[in-house]
Amino acid sequence: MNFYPYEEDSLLFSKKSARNVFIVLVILFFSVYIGSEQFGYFDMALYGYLWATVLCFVLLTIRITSWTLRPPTRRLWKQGFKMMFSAKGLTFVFKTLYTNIGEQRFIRNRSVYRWAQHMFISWGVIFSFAITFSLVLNWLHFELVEPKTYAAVVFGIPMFRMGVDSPLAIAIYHGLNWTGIAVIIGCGMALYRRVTDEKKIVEQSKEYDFFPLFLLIAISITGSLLTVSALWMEGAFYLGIALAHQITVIVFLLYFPFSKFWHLPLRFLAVIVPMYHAMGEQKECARCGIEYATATQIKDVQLALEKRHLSVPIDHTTLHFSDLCSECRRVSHRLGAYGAKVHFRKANLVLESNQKNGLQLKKGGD
Amino acid sequence: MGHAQNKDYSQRDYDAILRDGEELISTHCCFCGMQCGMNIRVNKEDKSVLGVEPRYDFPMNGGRLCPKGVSAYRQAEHVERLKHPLIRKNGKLEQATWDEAMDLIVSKIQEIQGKYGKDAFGIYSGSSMTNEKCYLMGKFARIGLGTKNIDYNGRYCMSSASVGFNQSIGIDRGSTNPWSDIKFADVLLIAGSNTAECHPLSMPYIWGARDRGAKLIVVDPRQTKTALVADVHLDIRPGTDVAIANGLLHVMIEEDLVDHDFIHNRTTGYEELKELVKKYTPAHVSEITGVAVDKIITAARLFGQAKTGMTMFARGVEQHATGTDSVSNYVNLCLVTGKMGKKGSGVATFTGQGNGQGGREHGQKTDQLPGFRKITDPKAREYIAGVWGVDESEIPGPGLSAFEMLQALGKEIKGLLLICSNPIVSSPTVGDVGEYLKSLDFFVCMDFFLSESAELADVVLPSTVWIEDNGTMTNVEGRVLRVKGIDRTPGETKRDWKVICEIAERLGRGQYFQFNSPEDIFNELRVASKGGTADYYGITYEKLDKMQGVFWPCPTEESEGLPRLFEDLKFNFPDGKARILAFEHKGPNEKTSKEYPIILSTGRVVFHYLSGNQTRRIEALRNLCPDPYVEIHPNLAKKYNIEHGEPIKISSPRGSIELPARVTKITREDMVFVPYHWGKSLAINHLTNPALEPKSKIPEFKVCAVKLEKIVSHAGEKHG
Amino acid sequence: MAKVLYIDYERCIGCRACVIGCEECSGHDHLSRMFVDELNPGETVAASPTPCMHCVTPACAESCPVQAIAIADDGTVLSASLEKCIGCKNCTYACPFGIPRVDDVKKVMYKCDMCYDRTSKGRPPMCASVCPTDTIRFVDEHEIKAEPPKEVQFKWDFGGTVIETRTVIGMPDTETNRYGFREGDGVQS
Ligand code: HEM
Ligand code: SF4
Ligand code: SF4
Ligand code: SF4
Repeated sequence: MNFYPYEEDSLLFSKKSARNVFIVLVILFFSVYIGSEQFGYFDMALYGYLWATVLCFVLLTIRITSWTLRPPTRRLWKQGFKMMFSAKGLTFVFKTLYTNIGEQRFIRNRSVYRWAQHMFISWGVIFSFAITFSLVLNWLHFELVEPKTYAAVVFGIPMFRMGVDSPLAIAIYHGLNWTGIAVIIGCGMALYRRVTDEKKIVEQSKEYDFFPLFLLIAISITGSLLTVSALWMEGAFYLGIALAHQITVIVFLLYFPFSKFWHLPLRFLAVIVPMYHAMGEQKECARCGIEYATATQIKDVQLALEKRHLSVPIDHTTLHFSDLCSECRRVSHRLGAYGAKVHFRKANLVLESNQKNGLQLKKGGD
Repeated sequence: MGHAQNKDYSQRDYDAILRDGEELISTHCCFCGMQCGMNIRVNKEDKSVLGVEPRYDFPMNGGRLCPKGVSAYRQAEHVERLKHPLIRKNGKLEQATWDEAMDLIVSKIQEIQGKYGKDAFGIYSGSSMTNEKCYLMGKFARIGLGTKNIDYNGRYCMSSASVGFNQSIGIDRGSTNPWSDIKFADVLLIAGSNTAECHPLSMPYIWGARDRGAKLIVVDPRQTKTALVADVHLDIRPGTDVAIANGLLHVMIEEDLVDHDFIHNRTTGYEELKELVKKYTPAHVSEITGVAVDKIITAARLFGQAKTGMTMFARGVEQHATGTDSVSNYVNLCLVTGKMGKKGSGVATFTGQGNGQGGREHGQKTDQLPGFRKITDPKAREYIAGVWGVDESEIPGPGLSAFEMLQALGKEIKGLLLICSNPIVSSPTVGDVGEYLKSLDFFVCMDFFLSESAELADVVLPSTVWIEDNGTMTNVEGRVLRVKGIDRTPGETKRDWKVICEIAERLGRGQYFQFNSPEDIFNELRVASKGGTADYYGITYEKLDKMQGVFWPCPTEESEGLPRLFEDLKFNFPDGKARILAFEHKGPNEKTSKEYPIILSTGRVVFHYLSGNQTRRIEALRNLCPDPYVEIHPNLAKKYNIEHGEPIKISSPRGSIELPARVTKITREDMVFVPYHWGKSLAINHLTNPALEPKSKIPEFKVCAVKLEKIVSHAGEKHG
Repeated sequence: MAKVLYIDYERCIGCRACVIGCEECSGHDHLSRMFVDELNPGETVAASPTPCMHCVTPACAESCPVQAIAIADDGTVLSASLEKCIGCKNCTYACPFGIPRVDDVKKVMYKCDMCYDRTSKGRPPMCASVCPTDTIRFVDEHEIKAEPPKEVQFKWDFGGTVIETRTVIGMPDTETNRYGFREGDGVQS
């Protein structure tokens, strides 16, 4: 959708993405290098996943670069980082991290059902990510240090030990199964809602909406089948299932940056918002005088619009429409249209129509 | 597509959306006489009400709805609905069974009527219910209870228009023309009606006329939303309608803008009128009404010069001690200019209540029998007695009118059945009305919410809401139409016509009330109205569905009704001539004085219906207009040093009330305006004048004298 | 063939049926997206509805840091995507017409989507369906722009920035019916 190039300097995007991709690749390389203890422990079964993951990271980096280059995004990130440097800002960020990302309270406020469904999906997928990436990139592996004891090695550093049959070990081995089940439950709930609430879903096309859910379910089911096959079916169909699983995961990884799942990175910007709203100085509407925004945000919005040649100024004044609260914006247009004088009481200005459907300072003072 | 009679209406060419698992009940709005069509979305399985869907194909409104209409369905699943009968025990209303309630009602009726005579039990009914129910109430009173004392809240609403129309043109149909005719008028004179707020769905018709270049004249003391877009706004002092009409007549006669042919051939009484209005010169009228001279002249010329035109009015003209005079005088405007009986020419009153029209036709008015028959007319009594299968002598004579009946409570009337009304909010001097109701020996009320009046009852019976029953209504134009309901009665609710039949059964009068459906009642109504002015005989449910409503009179099975009256220019008098009647300006019953120097006028807002019992409970509407207020001009406010939003005390000789001021230039400087939809301490009817118009018995809601006082807030002083 | 909203606000009676009607559209979660504002409180009863203007280059979408506001194929500017919107309110300030609203509890922006549920099935949006006065109409875009019944607004020039909107506003008649006047007064605000 609205996904067109953003900067005027068309090379800027390429330059920035090239740089960022380079940085990410270097970091990846070193993390794998360290994690695999100089490529000592390399699980060749995960080779395909590895390349897909690397590609996914590259694509994600490019996508994020393009996103953060958009003026409003850039502004908001910058403001966020600036504010995080105060104690107040930092507390805000941690609090929001918990409520907004951890607990996702705002989704619960939308609907408890959608919240439950989303908790299953998001946490299911995030933990799956964590486990898969750590294994695939060899950030984490297990070493048999004694005949019946594993050591978990993170970035080459042994962290803890556990018995081969200990409950912890089983929980960890089957981590992906648990998360897979969570994802299946969540996606099932989402599908059910799609069917029952179909009429309410105004948003995008079917393909955009259903495909991600089917994809997640396919991954989770093939993944779980691997375990089923290994544990109870003496490895029957194992290779086929493994191949299917590998394909679905690779599709997912490549699809991730350009789909519904793209909202995961976006959501991290949400963490900044409460702080952004709370920590700025309040601004009064130029007409009615109510406080309706922070001065910083209005400036930010005006800058963002200017970059897009979409400034909406009020002629012969220093004001923009965004210096008015929403209601005064609506009313001023109407008053101007029927030839009334428009009093901006707070700013002490009298305006009139500019005869081109905008507003201007009234000629001759008032 | 559709019947020819509906050709010029405002229907639109879309189908309603029908969603999976739902069905649409195509019915009409319960609020106001426009009777807009709407579809109610109902869950197919559990019959729960889900929402509203526009009924684009209905001619009158084409799917359009006012805010009341859009949210009307929200009554159906409302938590405050009465779901079981209540009986007062130890001073409190407590849950009871239907049997208990019915036993009590029947024994009380018998006790009271045994002790004090038949007429000691009265019925106060309403006009927001179907023709079937209105008819049934009239019949039940006369031959179920045998009481003469039945009247209905339409007395407060339509009675002046009714008398006025009858004395001028001999027939009382709300509009002589189909509503689509408004579009073809070259001039529209709207008096005492805030059409935009009270009958919003008339606006597309008015704009239809304006788009054709029609002129709009609005007579109203306030610059309402209707007046805001008028060509001439005659902002009269409340209570001077007769004078302003005389002024317009004066100018038209003076400038010879009258239709001599029409006057000569089709009317009587013109000379008297001509004589009388001689002294109503624009200057004189301007003095009485407070309207600028040039506006009177402009308006008269616009009206007189136009080829076609309609005069339309509402409660602002009617709810006066001289209400019937004003109505006839506005009708005169059309009579002297020959604006009658043509496309775009006629007179109309905006019916307020849902079935204000049908409710006054079929015998729940104390002086009437079905079909607009007079209860004192021996022939009419004979005929109806025949239909009902009783002896003529069994039908009582006329009883007390609505407000007189309330005043008689506890005296001649000891027991009361109240249905479809909330008189303790809607009557003048509501404080006293509470006392009247409390002095009853027995008071039973049927409603679906516990109204302010129901709170005082000894027994409250839970009825169904309008979309849970079938029947017919008659709208502002005289079009009879079908309302359809969902097949359900939630909790222990019962349809009120069933309850009435059951009471009759228990009183031993069951043989006259053998009805199994509203259609049964309607079929009897058809026969009962046959030969009357409002003749429904040829109307069947089937025809109503097919034609999307039928205009009465419809005397035969072949007839398709009569959308436009008087096309033959024969008025409903033996000589076929309309009566031009002349009236002196008398002014309101209560004049302003030194002590009470300000005029109070009351009225409606678009968000609420009548006593507000329904609309105040709908959250969306309540939020839009939660409380009453006093509209006051800034200059008047300044005199009393009152700021916007500040509470003021207004008092009349009858009571006082404190309400916040809404300072606005839309009202005249010599008056204040307060909407009347609230009860108890917020009821402006504590102040209004109970003076009744002698012919129609309508109370003078629209004018009384009041004084204003600033409320000195002590709390404020401390901080100040 | 494309149909758009036409607002002839001279006719508006401020009844807010459109506001309540908006809640009735299936996609709207019972949150109304319509606005009705009093234009001269205390002076006249003039009021006007404002639905989304459906800008051809929507400032709301341009200002959104997460590109949550999508434009449907027919040009309808949709409400924010539920999963993308972070509730930052940029759009509410950027919109020159004062349209988007943010629900602070649900943390999501919502705005007029012309009842996508209805218009995608060829039916008028709820506001245009219910408006009792025909203030809001659902009309052919080309017709209303090419041959308007009276003076209309759909190209807005703000200091050189020209924004074209799909929604069209009809201008009141201040000549004959003296819209906005009270006897003897000039036009006030
Ligand atoms: C932890 C950070 C995340 C946040 C704050 C977040 C937020 C959201 C929000 C606000 C919605 C819209 C919910 C609604 O209103 O119905 C949503 C939907 C969705 N999210 Fe997330 N999300 C997160 C992570 C994820 C992850 C990791 C996935 C899986 C890859 C995911 C998959 C989905 C899906 C499939 C939907 C669509 C649900 C539906 O339409 O029924 N989310 N997310
Ligand atoms: S429904 Fe129509 S008349 Fe009523 S407020 Fe909305 S736009 Fe105005
Ligand atoms: S509130 Fe939502 S839609 Fe609006 S700019 Fe912010 S993220 Fe975008
Ligand atoms: S009117 Fe405002 S909300 Fe609508 S598209 Fe334009 S900028 Fe966006």
